[in-house]
Amino acid sequence: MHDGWPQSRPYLLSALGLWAFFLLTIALMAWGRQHGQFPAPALWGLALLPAASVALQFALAYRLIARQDEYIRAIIAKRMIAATGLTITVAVLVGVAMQFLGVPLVPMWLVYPVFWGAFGIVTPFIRTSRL
Amino acid sequence: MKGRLRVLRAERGWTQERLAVAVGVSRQAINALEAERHEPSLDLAYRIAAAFDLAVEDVFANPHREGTTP
Repeated sequence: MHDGWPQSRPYLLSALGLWAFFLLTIALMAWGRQHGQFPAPALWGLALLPAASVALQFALAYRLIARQDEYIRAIIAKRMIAATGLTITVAVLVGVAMQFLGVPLVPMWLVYPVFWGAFGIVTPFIRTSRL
Repeated sequence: MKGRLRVLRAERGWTQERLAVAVGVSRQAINALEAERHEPSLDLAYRIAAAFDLAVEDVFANPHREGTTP
């Protein structure tokens, strides 16, 4: 029985497009900084783009979820809460380790793919809307 | 919430898909209700009862009232 993410072709295509855009802007930022191609104001402008793609992705996900029935809405909300908790837990652990334990710096933008990874991890375990 | 959803549906020869379309929810929602993985809202309980042309308590047991096994 499939009761995972709601299936929607327009959503899937827009999500894939936004993921590609997100990764492209990160790659462009890395390349621009390495080669000194962009002035600082341009880099700041470029830095807004991956953040904007994340905001748009969540807005689209919210709109898709809002159109589902009460059961699907409930289990996805539970999964998102669990994934958020897992992501923040990992982020705090890594943040503390970076600051106090000399662990190499990890890019903060990784929190976005980590969140969706966490969502995938918790999904098989949350299959009821009941508490 | 215990109920007779699966029995009532089987008695009528309806698929989960057919009942889902009749009450305006996903097949997954009907499956979750039958497996007691979801408590229906009052509105959904009314819609399901209406689809079977029964009272709500003939479909779903009222857990707050004794002797209401549907």
